[in-house]
Amino acid sequence: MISHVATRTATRTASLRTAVGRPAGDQTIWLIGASLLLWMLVLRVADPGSVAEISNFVLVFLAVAVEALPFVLLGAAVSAGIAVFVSDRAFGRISRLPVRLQMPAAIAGSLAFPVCECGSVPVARRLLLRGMHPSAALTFMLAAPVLNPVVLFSTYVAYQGRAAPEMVIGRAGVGMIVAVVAGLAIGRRSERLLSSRSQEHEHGHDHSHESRGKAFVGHLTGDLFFMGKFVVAGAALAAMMQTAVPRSVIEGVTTAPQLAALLLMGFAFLLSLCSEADAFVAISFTDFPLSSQLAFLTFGPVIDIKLALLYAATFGWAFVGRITAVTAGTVLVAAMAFHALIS
Amino acid sequence: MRLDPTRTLRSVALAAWAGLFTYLWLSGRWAEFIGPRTEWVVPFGAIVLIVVTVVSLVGIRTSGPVQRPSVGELVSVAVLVAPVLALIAVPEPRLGALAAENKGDAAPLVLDEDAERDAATPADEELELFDVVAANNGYADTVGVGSRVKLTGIFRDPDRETATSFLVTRFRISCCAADAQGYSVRVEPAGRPPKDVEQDDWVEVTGTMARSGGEWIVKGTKAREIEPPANPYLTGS
Repeated sequence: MISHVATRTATRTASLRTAVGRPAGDQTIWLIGASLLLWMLVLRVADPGSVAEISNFVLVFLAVAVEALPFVLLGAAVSAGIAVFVSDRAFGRISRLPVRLQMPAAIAGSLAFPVCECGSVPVARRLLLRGMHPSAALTFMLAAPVLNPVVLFSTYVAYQGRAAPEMVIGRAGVGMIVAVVAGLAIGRRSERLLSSRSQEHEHGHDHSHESRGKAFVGHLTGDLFFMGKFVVAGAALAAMMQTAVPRSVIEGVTTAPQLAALLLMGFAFLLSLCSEADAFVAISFTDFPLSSQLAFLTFGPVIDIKLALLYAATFGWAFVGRITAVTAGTVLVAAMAFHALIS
Repeated sequence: MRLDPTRTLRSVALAAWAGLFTYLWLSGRWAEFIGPRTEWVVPFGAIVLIVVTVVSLVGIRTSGPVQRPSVGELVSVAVLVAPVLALIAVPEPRLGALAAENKGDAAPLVLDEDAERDAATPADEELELFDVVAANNGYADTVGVGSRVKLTGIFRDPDRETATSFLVTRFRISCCAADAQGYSVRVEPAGRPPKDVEQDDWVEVTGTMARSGGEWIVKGTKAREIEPPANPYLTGS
């Protein structure tokens, strides 16, 4: 019975993939185009902006998408640069280094790459393709959004007068621990999965016969289109959460530190904030202990709605499950240790 | 040479995004979505997207066989241009009472040294919304009863029929509107709240500082509807 259901599901999935992948017929193109046009006309006539929920949703949706896309562009540009301008010999030397030497290089690289988390994903994928050990590439990807001067300075400013040095050191420390632990735990176990998923996207992106300039633009637009749609979808989901879920659902709850940390980690997942601004939101949770605010600040940059979709597209849903589990566990333990230290 | 449908479609999507970023940049409307910390993303995005669009358009002709874009490709492009379509459908989205209620009121931050200097300002200088909020959180000791106040912000009237006061709210953003935090001041008007002003309208209220139930409020003498400012946010680091 179970094998019959599994077979039917696999068949349906294969059929769906075939349907999505086949060239669109005239009818399909006209249908999609006409639907979009009709939707636009209906919306203009109906004046949806007068509905508070729609206005709020569109504003947050646009804000997140407009802010995130340039970082994806930046990451795609760096990724394209690595693909086109960095020699195979240079990467050959790096990839032959043992993992225990690649990891510190990854941490150092993250300090020099101060971008939002959307920008570090395409770079990490490119590093994987060029032979860097998955543990090191993942460590870079997870450390860059937190271990950068802009994020740490924002955290300091937000917490001025309220344990700013402790929160900055805590955020940097826990961020680094999470990056290394997740990098080692997932990178080692998922080496084949991460490499194969990264290579899947490269099929049909052979730019070896083109000039370097054309190849650079080809890689850049390829990454932009591949990642951009997931960033937009993630922005829409984050906007939906911000419109539909009030903060009052988590306020007034017991402030047992473990539960508080888990609640704020869940909220960080839903809000999908940029790591350069989330400290100002974290500090507003005045009913919650500092350890739970630290959990908010270290969980969100690693995994949120937007990133979950981006990771799923780049590395697969199995990766999303693993990174969520490893990050949640590590952040919770670190937050409790922080709570014990500062109490 | 023929047009490659897939490359043409992608070029159209890139052009739509380039157009969006350029529009936000040149019109100044980026300030409705993006904070000062990340304002550079708009001109950066506009310039890079224009360049990438032009390069993409150069390559849309092909002498080889052409294939129609797949259904998946069409849906991907539709998703990618959804923000552009959203702005066309809702040209003036705003944060209002719903966002203020969802996010709750934030504790104010001392933005810079001027805030501490303002605390020592004699009560005869006209105060603004953030001064009242700061006073409610103990930052300004010398703000006294009777200080003149002029507030501009979003009108919030939780219960029009029975309330004897309303709220004026401003949002503060850092990176983008997603991290907006609300700051509200209670106004007790002389008489009923203004009839022609509705929830989420922008208002200008003049009055004086007063104490009510342990809270600094504004005893309003005049309230009128105004146009939303070009930059609706209080901004800080």
